[in-house]
Amino acid sequence: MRNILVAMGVVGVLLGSQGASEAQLSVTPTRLANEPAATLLLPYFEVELPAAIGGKSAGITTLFTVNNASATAVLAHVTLWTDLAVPVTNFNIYLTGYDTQTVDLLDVLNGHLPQTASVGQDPGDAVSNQGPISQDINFASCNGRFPYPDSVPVESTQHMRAALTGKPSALFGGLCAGRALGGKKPIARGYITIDTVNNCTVRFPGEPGYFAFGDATNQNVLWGDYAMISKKGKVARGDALIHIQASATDPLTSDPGEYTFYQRYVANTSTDYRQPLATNYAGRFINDPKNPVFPSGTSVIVWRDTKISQNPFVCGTTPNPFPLNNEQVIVFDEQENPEIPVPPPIPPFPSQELAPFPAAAQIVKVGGPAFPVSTKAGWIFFNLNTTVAGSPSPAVDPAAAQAAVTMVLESKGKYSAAYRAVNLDNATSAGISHQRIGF
Amino acid sequence: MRKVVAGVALAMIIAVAAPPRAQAQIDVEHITNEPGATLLLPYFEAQVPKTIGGKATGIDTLFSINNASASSALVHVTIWSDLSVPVFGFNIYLTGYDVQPISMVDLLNGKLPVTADDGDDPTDTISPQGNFSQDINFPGSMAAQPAQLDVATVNHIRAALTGKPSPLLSGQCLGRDYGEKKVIARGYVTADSVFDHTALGPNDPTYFTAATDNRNILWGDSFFINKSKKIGRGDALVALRASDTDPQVNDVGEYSFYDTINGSVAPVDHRQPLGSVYAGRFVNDSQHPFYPTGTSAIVWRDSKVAQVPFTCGSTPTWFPLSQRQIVAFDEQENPELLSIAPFSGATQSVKIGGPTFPVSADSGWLYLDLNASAPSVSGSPVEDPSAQQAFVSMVFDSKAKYSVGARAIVLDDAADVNHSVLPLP
Repeated sequence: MRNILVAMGVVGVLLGSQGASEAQLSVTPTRLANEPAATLLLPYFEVELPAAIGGKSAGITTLFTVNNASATAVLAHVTLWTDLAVPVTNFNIYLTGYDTQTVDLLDVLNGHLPQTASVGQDPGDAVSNQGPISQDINFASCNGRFPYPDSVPVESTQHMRAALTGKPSALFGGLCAGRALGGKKPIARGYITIDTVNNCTVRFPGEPGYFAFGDATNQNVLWGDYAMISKKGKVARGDALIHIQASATDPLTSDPGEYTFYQRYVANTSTDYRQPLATNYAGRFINDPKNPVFPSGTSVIVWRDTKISQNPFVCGTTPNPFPLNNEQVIVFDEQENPEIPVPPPIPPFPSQELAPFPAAAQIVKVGGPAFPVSTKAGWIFFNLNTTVAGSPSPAVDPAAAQAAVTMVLESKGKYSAAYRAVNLDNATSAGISHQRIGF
Repeated sequence: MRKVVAGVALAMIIAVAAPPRAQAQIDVEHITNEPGATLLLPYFEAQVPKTIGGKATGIDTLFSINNASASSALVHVTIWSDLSVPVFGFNIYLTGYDVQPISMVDLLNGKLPVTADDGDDPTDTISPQGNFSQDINFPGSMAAQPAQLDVATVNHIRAALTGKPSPLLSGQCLGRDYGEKKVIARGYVTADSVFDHTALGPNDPTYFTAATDNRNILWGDSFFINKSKKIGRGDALVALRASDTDPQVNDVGEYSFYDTINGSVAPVDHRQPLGSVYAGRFVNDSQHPFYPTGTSAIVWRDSKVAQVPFTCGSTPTWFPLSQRQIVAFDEQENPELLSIAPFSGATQSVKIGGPTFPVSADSGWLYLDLNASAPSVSGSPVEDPSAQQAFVSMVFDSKAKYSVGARAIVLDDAADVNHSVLPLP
């Protein structure tokens, strides 16, 4: 018979620092798995902004959840980044043991942050409830911060909206932080990282004191999912967040110079201890309006490592390292014929490489202006390694560049189906592949 | 200024497969999104057309099998019923870097993918060869595999996947009959890298010694599409890596993906097993602003038996499958211990909050320890007869609007199970 077990303060049965099972899984930096982790990556988001702060929008929004796989209470530090990898703002989420927190980014961009609080700020559990086998502890550093106000100041909201739509932000001194892609309706774009931390830090991952046993911890306990939903368009797609595990003892994530996820912010010291993503991917595409299932074709969501810490920049300029290059992107048709650029007969000879993913986070239509493709269907080989001017990162291989790729296939107004492209390598020193097919 | 380079004989400059796949240690305990030696489509649904060759406007499952290497590949595809009985098998030849999309409705109409290796197709009229793609001859021939199956075989496949008596198997059944108005075929699919045009399948004792290889070169995707309801969702196929040297898939008693059904003491398939404990969120609230239709869990499970067809009206001995522990946490972290066994078959989609999975909370997450509550009768796998691999995806729906899927998170692996349970008060 079923029975809701009410909270009875049974902290004594907690399992220590880890839950029942998650402690069993080892961390293997060469393998990116769908397992609880110390960092979660939402590789790309879009949110249609309502005209006024606080307004509603039936257009696209992105939801994500942050969940705690362990009985131990944790703090999760959420950072919003622009599509050019400039950190825009950050906030913290307190999770009791086994807690879950859903975040609608439209709410955040309307100034409403998730309401959570550790026991010091919420002794009566009015904000963050505590289950009977869930730890609820005090993070004293959260005093005065948790729970967040119902709405953040208007200037903070305006800053987020401007930064994520490529407009000048007053809080950045009139500088820009992302791309202004135009369009009738303003769409906020960027990506999100979520790290386990040990205090209610307001630092960004690039700031001193965040890593190297500072704010960030190596608790592999977070898990989550996300969905991009357009109620108006009646389409949605989802996936698990990308789970990035940490280990301060594995040489591949702790030896100086190794490629770690946040290597660009730790000056080749590897002191974030996070495993890197892959650099080579494979994904199928359709580019045929007569395709019976996906007549609207395919788009590719690509997150890329900028390999340098990016700051706000003068609007109208394009900062280094953009546009990001790559070692090889090859389109194969279904007869395995590779599609390659044909050089002109006389110089100068332009690059023969496709470089359709110039930003840190983007969605690019296969067969569109930025990614012209002749064939109707096939698959794409992505070797997204690249060097970046001024970046010695990672020291083990400065030409390595991690990325994340998702394929989105669509029938407009009907459905949208997505899946992660397949990893063909990993960005640890044991696995980086600079292979170029055939040429 | 780009063109498609026509296939010319440049096979000699073929690049090798990406380096990580050649690793002897494959980190068995981590299921990753990398090319594997076996692909698993954990669950499919396809509306059966009324007549053979007819169209279906309802749900279909599409999947693709692709070759990540420049070397040619031969793939043995097995269609299984939802009670883990192999229904039909066929082979696909892939030149280097080849792709092969497949529709389950096509299969229910008897239409097989048409491919041929270099011996059967020396002029590349069937399986064209790209200029960086190997095209070779495998032992045996594809000639015996028709493009269009005969009516008796099609009727067998349709009956087997809908829980009806199969005319080819003396009226025995192979799966569950849901008794629906619109007939839906259900089951799962495996695709193994092989080196021979084999007629054997995973339940045959010699399949893994006589036909399969351990090349981790296959990748794929899958899509559930319902055109009439205008919903679709996708995922990568589950890729299982193999190793002939990693002790965890070679030593006596270890748990491998096919180990428990082929009855061997030491794994002969050399495939990594899946996870056994999962976490996935759910919504069970008709007023929910995004997912008013709620959540379903797609669950594939290891029956741990080489299941054969059975008398209609009866069930296999292992059915229904139970599990060690299912706990539903609400969003205030209150756990609800569920004394149910909602995932009784080898593969299924189960509505959270429905008759087979009643739950009180409006939303929260599920802790699914799908290991067995007792050692298996067969004693397999020897190292831990209670270990039981599984695979779980969560599907969130807004009826007739959209459907969103996400793989559940792996909390434990079947290769080395931690049999502790959540200590509920």
